[in-house]
Amino acid sequence: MVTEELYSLAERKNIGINFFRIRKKGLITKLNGNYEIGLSIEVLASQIQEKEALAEELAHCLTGTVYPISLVATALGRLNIIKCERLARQTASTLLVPLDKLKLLLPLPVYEIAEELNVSEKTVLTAIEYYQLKGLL
Amino acid sequence: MRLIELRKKKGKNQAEVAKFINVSQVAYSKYETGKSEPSYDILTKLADYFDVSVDYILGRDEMPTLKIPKEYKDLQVAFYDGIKDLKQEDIDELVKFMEYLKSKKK
Repeated sequence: MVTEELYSLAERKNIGINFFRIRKKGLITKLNGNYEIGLSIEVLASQIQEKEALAEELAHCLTGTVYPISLVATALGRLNIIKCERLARQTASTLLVPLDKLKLLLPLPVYEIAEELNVSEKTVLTAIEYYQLKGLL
Repeated sequence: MRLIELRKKKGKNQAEVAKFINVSQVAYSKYETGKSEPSYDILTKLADYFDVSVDYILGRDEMPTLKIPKEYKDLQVAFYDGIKDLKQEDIDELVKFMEYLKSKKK
């Protein structure tokens, strides 16, 4: 997906997007049952970073992987959060690196695939790993 | 133990911490250097003073205690890149973000 498609997806799902002064690249929360994404106006240094932060926060909405903030206080809670983060990251990578496009690009080295899809190499690798895990590659 | 790190972060000297936990500066200095171990009571006082858990002081817990306002304890969230380096600053910004959202909805 290109960045505009991610913004359209958010709009269709009634997910608010707000640019805000935060140290983290992005965060997501819920207000009155609606998801609200915050994207940093300070640390997002490139279009790729904006796209990846938006995709990851959207992935949290799509997979329902948000958690009560109080979970950070316990070891078990943090373990659950790590699982949530992994699922969101994998889902985000599938939004940014669709399987059909990846299959066409796979003869290329990872950095070229990343360049072609306008994402980071890390995201390409996450997507490849995920698709392989699911037996799709 | 993380006493030196916590004390410096709080901008205090050994004498000030020692006074708070009611021990001599020499005794406190020994806790920091590992030459002697504080009792559980003293550890609890130190945890209160530095606003972290006893486990965190002992280095068993990687995450410092974060102050979450009562009204936001059940708030559903997720942070980009997870919570590995989550700081109090992030919680404070989250609270500001919530206040911003609430004001926007009014």
